Amino acid sequence: MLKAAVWLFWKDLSLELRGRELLLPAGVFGLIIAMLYGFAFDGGQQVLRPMFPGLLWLGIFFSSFLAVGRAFGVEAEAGQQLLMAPIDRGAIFLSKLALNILLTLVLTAVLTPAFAMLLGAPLPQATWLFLWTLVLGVVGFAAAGSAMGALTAQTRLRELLLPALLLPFTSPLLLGAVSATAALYAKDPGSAGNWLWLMAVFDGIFILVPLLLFEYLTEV
Amino acid sequence: MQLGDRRVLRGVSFALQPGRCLALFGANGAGKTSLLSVVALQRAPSDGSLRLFGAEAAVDDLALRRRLGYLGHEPGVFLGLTGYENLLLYARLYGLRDPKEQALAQLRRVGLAPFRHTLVRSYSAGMRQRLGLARTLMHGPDLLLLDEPHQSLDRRGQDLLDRLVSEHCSAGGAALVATHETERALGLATDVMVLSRGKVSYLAPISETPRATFERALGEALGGGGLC
Repeated sequence: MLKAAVWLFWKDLSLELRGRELLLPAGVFGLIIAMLYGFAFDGGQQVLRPMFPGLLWLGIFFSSFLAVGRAFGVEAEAGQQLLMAPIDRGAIFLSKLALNILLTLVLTAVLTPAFAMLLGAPLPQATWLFLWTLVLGVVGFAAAGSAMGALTAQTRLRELLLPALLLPFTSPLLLGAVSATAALYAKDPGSAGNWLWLMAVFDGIFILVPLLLFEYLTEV
Repeated sequence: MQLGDRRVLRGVSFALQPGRCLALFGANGAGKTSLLSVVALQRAPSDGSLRLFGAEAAVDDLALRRRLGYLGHEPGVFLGLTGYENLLLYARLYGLRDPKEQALAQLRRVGLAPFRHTLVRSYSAGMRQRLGLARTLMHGPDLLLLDEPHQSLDRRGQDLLDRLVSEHCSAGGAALVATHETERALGLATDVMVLSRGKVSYLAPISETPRATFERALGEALGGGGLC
């Protein structure tokens, strides 16, 4: 399965590097959100600091949604043909998951400094824990997005169903990510740890369950 | 076989032996594509059973999938990859030996070798269909399932398709070809089936089929056997 996943990831990455259909719109959207927040809330003010974790994660989730949500849609009927190949369909999920993690990581790497700069919030002192929070948030959102993307790929109301499923399902992850980030800004790494555990459990569930059930998800 | 509320196939029963090529005719909406998708293991029949290569078929059977070659209405290739990259990907997914050489050989076979490093997005519809055919044949399937394969192909492309399908059947493979190209299919096939409103209205070897009988069956099916 891993070998097939590697070949499929190579295919997905080649398509994205040539077409830039996922990363470019999502990146531009995220930067526009950051700028609008900066204008709307008058960036340098101290009052904005407590809101920074929430604004940052909403920006990351909404812009990543544009990329992650469309990852299954860009190949349409050619992707259907893949379902006929003699491979474990979990390989298709793994390749999409890897692509979505990569895209969301790149987006986060661009958006986090942009948000910090435009909203006047320097990065917290516990830099490693903050990076760990970002990674757990990114992996969880990419995993849930890959699963929901597969589930809704063949449905007529895909554009409506995907956000209706993905955003509520990822609300525990959002809560964990915002709370962990807020705790790190409040110089309270101890309470951030609990939220990081919650995020790690969320990530594990949304990687393992779709991997085991992907055969059925693609037949819905 | 049911799609939503609509029953698209009813009591369809047939057997296809190695070396035989069955041409499948019928009006739009008669159930040709649905029948092919069931045999291709894309969807399970809502009732009845499907036996492939002597065993009960299950949609998740990887060994069975390996023995099938399916070319649907669309060629099933990635537009953002080159022709060579598309075939290389499938050669690897099917676990073929020497995938690079296999991909090149198939491109030569369908006349696309000079365009192997061109993105499929720049291919014409006929070239994409040729690439789809190469993808379908590359792993040496035992059963070919072709849904209106002549579409988009020019005359030389259609000749190539017919030759490749004939070679496949002569080598002991079987083929099920849904088509509207009556003359070509009759020249290619060993058996004919006509579907009308999801039912088999005619099924016989071509050698035992008087032309007039076939044309009457086809005329009746096309006259009222599909969508209004």
